[in-house]
Amino acid sequence: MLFLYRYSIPLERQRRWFKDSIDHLLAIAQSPICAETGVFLSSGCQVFKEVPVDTRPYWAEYVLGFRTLTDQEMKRFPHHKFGQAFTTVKCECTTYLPWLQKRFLKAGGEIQQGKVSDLHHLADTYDVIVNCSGLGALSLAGDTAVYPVRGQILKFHAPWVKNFIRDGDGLTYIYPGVNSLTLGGTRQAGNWSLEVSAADREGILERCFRLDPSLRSGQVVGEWVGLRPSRENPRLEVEQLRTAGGREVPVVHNYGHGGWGVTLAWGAALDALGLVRQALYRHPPRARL
Amino acid sequence: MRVAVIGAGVIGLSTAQSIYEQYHDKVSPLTIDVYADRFTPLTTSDGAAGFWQPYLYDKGNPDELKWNKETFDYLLGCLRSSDAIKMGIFLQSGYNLCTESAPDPSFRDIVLGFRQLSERELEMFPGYTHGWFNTALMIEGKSYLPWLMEWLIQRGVKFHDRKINSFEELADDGAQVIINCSGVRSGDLQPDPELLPGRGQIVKVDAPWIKHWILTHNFSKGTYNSPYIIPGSRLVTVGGVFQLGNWSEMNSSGDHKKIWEEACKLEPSLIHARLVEDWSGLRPVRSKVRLERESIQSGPRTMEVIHNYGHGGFGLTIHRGCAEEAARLFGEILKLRRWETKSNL
Repeated sequence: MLFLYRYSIPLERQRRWFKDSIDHLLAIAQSPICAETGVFLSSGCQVFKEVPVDTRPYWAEYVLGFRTLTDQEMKRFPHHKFGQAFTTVKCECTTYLPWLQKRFLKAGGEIQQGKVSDLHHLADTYDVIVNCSGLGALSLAGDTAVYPVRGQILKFHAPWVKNFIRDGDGLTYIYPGVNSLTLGGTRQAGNWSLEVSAADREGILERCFRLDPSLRSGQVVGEWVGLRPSRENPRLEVEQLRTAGGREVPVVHNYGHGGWGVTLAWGAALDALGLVRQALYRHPPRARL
Repeated sequence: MRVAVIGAGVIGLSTAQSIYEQYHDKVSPLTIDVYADRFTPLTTSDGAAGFWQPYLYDKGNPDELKWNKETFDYLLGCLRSSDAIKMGIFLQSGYNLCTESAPDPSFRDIVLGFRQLSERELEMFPGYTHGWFNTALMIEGKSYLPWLMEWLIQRGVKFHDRKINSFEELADDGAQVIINCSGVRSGDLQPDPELLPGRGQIVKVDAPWIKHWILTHNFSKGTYNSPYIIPGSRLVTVGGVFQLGNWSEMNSSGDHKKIWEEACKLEPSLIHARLVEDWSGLRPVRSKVRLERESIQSGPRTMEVIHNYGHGGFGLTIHRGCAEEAARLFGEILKLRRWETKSNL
């Protein structure tokens, strides 16, 4: 889902990432093939227990139909005082990633499965490295600013729920997917555990039921834990790597997007592409004879 | 007090419910019998998409606007109850699209979050230049009718699988008030030249990535004759046609083709949907809903009849308001005929 937190990165750059990403996904959502991509239009609302300082976030102009909820609509949320409605895009990665991968392979890309433990090893073979290792950047890039924010979610069967609802505090959300809902969640900074927690499950259910009581007629069909690759700001920049042999290989870092990977991926990727192009222009790869 | 209800679609069942709710403690005993030759899931109400929305403009029928609003507010209230899903009630947002500029519809202040569509949103629907977005309610007949029947059975209402051929037949059996909710076939009981079938055909498909209803309005083609796509709790209903005077309940492959082609133009991703089934039904169309009392002389006795039929394509949309009004008319009859047996102390 596409929701944003404010980074100290210049606002213009954040806007661009957001806009490029949502425009890209909106185009897919409206295309005939959208079913095969896991990308579709999703409407819903965000509700706040207290009126937020910023009642119109900067991304309001990029989603569709952004507006404040009416008093009549707020009656559904007796514990909340303010809300916003809009239409955005849902990007179901379990379908989207395989589709992207297919496109990548069709375009001539190659996939090699394996763990990279040292960028220097890659630098011997490649002219440019793009590092999208998420939490792995902690060890791979020695970046101690990276930390996990543990998120537990439930997969839930309630096919009558068509709109998303999110609590503005970011802790409770109901996101309809193609075939099931995602109920969440938790934001536990510094927690590396990938184990499902029963206490978290109960907490999520209780909070989601309060947001939408009709969920009580549904059922849990799965649960999962993930670690958001968080950082004060996403790292999107070039670093020159010097190999043992004295070569300089540019590394374009693109990681640390926290819970906003889907929201920013395409825009950030375009930025990264720009950095790759720049790097190759400055240091054209030598021909290997 | 013996009441006979003819018809077990949404109108018959909800009228029986309103009468019971308002009078079971005022009239004792209150015996309600429902007669029909079609029950859920085979009624017109079952086949309908289950989407709450009146026609765009109320044609100067302020009563109908009032009954529509009452129904919406009632269903919105039911949303909070633990029975909401069993009743088939849930919220869904979507788009009303027009091929030309049009005044705001009559329901703009009834639904939730009504607004104009932005330019960017209209760009998603080539060929449509104007439109609105709002959140409305779904009320799925296939869930609502069984829930209503269960509600009524629990309160002693009896159901009879029997086609009624005349009001006299029921009066002979002892019915004191007859509620006529016979929908499109009301003409069999009492000729009504204003009542005509408005045949509709729909295609039900599996397309779970579609989360909004989309209704198009082409003023030259008329209501329901241009494509609509309405996701339900399980399948998506795709339509539509509106053929006045056509009594056929058979699916037509010509209609299927027309509906499908136009819907795919509206929502291209539909070509990857799995087709499940077609269904045809007859909307009970009338210039306005017939909701009124009629005292009919039959020999020495006077039959008290309340007519509640002719709800076109908006039966589910208007049912509760009409049921409450029918119950009010029932109260009038009780007063007139002094049939209230419990005094108010």
